[in-house]
Amino acid sequence: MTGSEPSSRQRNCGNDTAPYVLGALEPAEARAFAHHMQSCAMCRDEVGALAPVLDVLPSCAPRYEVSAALRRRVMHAVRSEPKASSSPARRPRRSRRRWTVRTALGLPPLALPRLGLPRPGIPRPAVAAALAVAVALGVVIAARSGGPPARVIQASVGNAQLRVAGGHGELIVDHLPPAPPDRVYELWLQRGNRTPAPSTLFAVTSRGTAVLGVPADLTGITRVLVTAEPSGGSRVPTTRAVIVTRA
Amino acid sequence: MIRIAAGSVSVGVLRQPRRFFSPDLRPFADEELMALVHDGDARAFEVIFDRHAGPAFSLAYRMCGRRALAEEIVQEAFMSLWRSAARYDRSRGSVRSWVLRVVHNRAIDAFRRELSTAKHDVADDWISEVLPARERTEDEVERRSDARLVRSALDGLPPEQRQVIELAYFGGFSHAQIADALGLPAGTVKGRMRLALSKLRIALGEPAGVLP
Repeated sequence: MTGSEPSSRQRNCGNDTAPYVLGALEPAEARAFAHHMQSCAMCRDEVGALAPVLDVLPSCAPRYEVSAALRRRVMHAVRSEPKASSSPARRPRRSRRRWTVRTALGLPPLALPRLGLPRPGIPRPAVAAALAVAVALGVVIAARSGGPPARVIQASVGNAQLRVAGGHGELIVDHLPPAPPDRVYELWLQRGNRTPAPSTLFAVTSRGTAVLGVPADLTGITRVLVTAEPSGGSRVPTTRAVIVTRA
Repeated sequence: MIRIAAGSVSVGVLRQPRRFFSPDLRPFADEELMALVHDGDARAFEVIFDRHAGPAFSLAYRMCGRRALAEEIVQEAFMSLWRSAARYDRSRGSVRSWVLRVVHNRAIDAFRRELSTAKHDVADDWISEVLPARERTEDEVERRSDARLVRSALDGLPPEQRQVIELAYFGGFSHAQIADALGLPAGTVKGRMRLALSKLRIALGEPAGVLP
């Protein structure tokens, strides 16, 4: 049951839950039942409980290979179809960054500091020993079709790629070892010779990958860096950068 | 060594040979790839396709029984994914579940639009071209193990309950069509569906508490 919401279950309305989950209601019935669920917590919960079964039912089907011809057709269609991915309906960048980064970490949402403002509760770390990890970074500033010309910047070290296109950017990290115990990776954006500004904290997956959002507007940003910092992050980099590039 | 001024702390980085980096996207998680698909990355989409097109095609083929239509459904489903990756919401399930739901819904749509005639009882002339998938990876082996568990749970249902599940989910029939075909009241069919899904849910390890 969801919270303390009163049930408005009608007689036998529960009999529609399974057909609804199975897609076996007629379209008009399905619409009516969906409307009914807005006010019937019992049906809503029952649908929520039954729905996961539908996720596993397909595995009962005998497995077959996809033909090479189908794969070619789909990929040809994809490559020839401009993707209007920067449409207004897209997710906010920040929310995606959080589910790719914070969720992977299992950390609560983090209020990121603004440039130059101290972050309460984070101790000023002592100068830490430099980490031995070094990876190469490639920076690709790619443009989508119709966008500005792509700018590709080769970085000095690493397995990472920065993509900025369509009003947003992403840092794609690969083959980066997990941060040491009690450490977390922190992304920094540096303008000129100023102190790098903290951007976000992140962890890599068990495969050493991560995808995190970066500000779309890199105007004035001269370097993008990643360092391993004490849990909770730092106000200034305290260790050797494991990813760095000139923007 | 490059030295970067960082307040009172120096940040250094080891100099490495400069080279072009193009990441191998195959190790990336589905959710990460979807973020790239959302941004128009066809390579990321290709990895997603390779991971999930097999189960998607298998489901479509199981539902419609014709290779050409199954391929059409899968193509439509993946193109929908390409066009609307922004709609993917990780909190509502895995990418695979999402893909399979799209395939299932499109197959039902196809049935209801009557794109296929006599789809359920016509022998498939193309069957010889559809080859059983090979077990290629540990993940696939694990999935096949899960599949056996689900099949076992399905086989454990009373025949009349398994029948309505198969007709509804894999056959794409509505409860009214099933009731008509079996000569049963619609309420009986709905009740069997509900009992069957509840039992499957328990058999697959979900707690039984929520359902009345």
